[in-house]
Amino acid sequence: MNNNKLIVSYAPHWHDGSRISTRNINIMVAALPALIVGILIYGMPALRVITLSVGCAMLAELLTNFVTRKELTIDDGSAAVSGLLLGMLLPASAPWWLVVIGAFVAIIVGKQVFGGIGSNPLNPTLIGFAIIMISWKGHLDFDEALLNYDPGFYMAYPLAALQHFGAAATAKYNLMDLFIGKQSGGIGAVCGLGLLIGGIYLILRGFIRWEISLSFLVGILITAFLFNIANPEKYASPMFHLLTGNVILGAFFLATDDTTSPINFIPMLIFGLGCGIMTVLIRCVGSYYDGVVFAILLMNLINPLIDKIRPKAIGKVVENA
Amino acid sequence: MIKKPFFGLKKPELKYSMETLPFEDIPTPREATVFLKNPNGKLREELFKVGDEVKTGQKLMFSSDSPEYIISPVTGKISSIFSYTDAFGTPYYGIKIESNGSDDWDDQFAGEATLETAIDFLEFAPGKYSFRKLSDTPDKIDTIIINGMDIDLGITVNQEIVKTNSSKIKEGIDSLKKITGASNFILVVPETLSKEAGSAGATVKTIPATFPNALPAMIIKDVLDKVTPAGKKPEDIGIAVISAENTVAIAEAFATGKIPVIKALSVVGKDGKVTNVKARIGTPISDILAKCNIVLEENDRIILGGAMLGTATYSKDLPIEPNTDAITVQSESESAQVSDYPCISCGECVRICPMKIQVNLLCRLAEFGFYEDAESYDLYSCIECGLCAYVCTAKRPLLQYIKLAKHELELIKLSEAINE
Repeated sequence: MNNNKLIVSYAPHWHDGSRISTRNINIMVAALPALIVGILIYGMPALRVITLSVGCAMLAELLTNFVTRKELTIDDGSAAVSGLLLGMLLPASAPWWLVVIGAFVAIIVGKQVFGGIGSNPLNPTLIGFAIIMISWKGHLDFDEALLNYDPGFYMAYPLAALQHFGAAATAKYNLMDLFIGKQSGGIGAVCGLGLLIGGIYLILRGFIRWEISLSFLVGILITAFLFNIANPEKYASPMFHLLTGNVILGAFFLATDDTTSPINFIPMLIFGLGCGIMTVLIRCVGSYYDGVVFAILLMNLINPLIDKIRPKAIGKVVENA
Repeated sequence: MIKKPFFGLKKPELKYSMETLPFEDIPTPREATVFLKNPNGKLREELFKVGDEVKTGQKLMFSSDSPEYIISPVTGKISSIFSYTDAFGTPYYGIKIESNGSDDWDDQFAGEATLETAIDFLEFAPGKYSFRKLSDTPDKIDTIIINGMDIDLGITVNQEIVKTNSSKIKEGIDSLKKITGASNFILVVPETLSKEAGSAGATVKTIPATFPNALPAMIIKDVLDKVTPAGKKPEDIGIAVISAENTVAIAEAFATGKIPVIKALSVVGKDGKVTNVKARIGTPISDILAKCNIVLEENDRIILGGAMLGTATYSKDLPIEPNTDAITVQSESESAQVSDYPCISCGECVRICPMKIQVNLLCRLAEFGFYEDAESYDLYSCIECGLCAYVCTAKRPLLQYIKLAKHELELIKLSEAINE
């Protein structure tokens, strides 16, 4: 009689096969269309920024794994995604040390100090980006940073032009050009079309939630529309706001980050709308050109609070009702 | 194993098996094993001991002042008595009965259909329904749901019984009427069996053939539009859910005066092939696997029950019990692997939960031992369908955390009660 060892485990004994790494690989694949357009526009320097950013983020993750003596989490791909998204936000001219600092801050301060994947209250990519953006303003001012690039289209940073010269400046931009990526900006943020393709792919595959992306865009449109009708000379049209800066990247790749966004239906809508409203508010009444980064970070902060709006569990006995 | 669909926006659909199969008979085992619950204390020698002759259908009691008993499934001699602890830590006595090959029926069971008889003799009938639950609330039960579907995937025992034996279900309903005094009988079947179910003499309701719609809590919610309050049993709101198999067993017991000892079960092989068999309660798993030509290899899993709700067991020498609806065998590559990864708050579990529980928060609390806080996060609303763990991106053992929290809370409450 042969006696094979049997494995004992708890129910359920089936799993649908989804994995964190599959999720993250798909997010990276979805980012490719926009990324390739960015690299085609800015050439090898852009590729340099992206690879350095991804590499440093993964290295930071690996180092903290060793320092904190935890299981290696580098293979889940979340560090690579954070690094990739950071690279996509940066200008192609970003010096190497800026990218290294950004990636290390993103992973260590943004994620690992809180306990690693799943524990971070704020999007790690945005923490990294926000810190280098505040610390080295000049390197992240796209007009200044991309001064030596001439890809053959109007290279003034649209949001800077809007803030300095009012809505009249937006006449120089063709909305279609903005949408297909003929504008100055972050490597992966300029091509709205590519981001949209990637975003729709992720939504259909079920890796990100349409509720957040859609309400983000709706929030931008509504708020920008209100500003626009209040003072059309000073404030740009809603579509201009939608297609410039990091809005589409934010709506599909940054705000939809699993850990830092809500889970329930109504909270997701509030979260997305809030991101959109805050973005336009920061652009129109704040001093920063683009508000996407800070808007999402702010909404990340109130995420646990709004996620308390949840359906009543079936069978729940409400006391003192 | 059903994988997530490529376009994952849609929820994965776990369909119940609809292909009913006739039962194949498994011969009486050489040695049958039964488990007698051992709340505390020792076996009393005068009630039974090793070497005693027992008859088929004979009631074996642990001690005269404990209500726990078992029914011997074979005629023969008690060959050994050993202690056994099940997967949830409940202590039992295992009793091995060596069969002499023939059936000599015990005549203690009197064929009068009353609740007392049912409690005294039919707790161990195949399909296992504990009538003791009714004795606490005898006058309140007004609705009995006969579940003509199997609660887990791949099993077609109850469906086959509805298909071929609806007249017996009718008899069973008559007996249940006498036992419980309930007036409202509902037979729940999948769409495909509504014609056969019509002759059973109960209101027929159909439910969608997707998991977890055949779980008692879901039937009560969907068919009766009632909700079992968190932490309560269906019996507390006047509803009992009894399987079709158990209904037939009751009918047979009262018609023949013999307590049924044959259990129908589905055997799901590694390739997903289903064989329906009828075997005596107490038959070792290995006998049944041999009959179904299933060869075990290193690191396989034997699951008593289906893939979603069953319990993996550690030995093929363990017997089938009155509530073993299936034996599912999985190879290592087919079975789910869990990890202790942290929750990434993707929300898949929350979206799939049929009870709308915030599983992500609940399981974090349970994981780190905040059991009392877990209670306020709807721990007791959980019907333990396992869908959350099925879809978990981080492969966390979510259902295990939930069961752990329930178990620990029970211990806390028990110790509080003792201290008072």
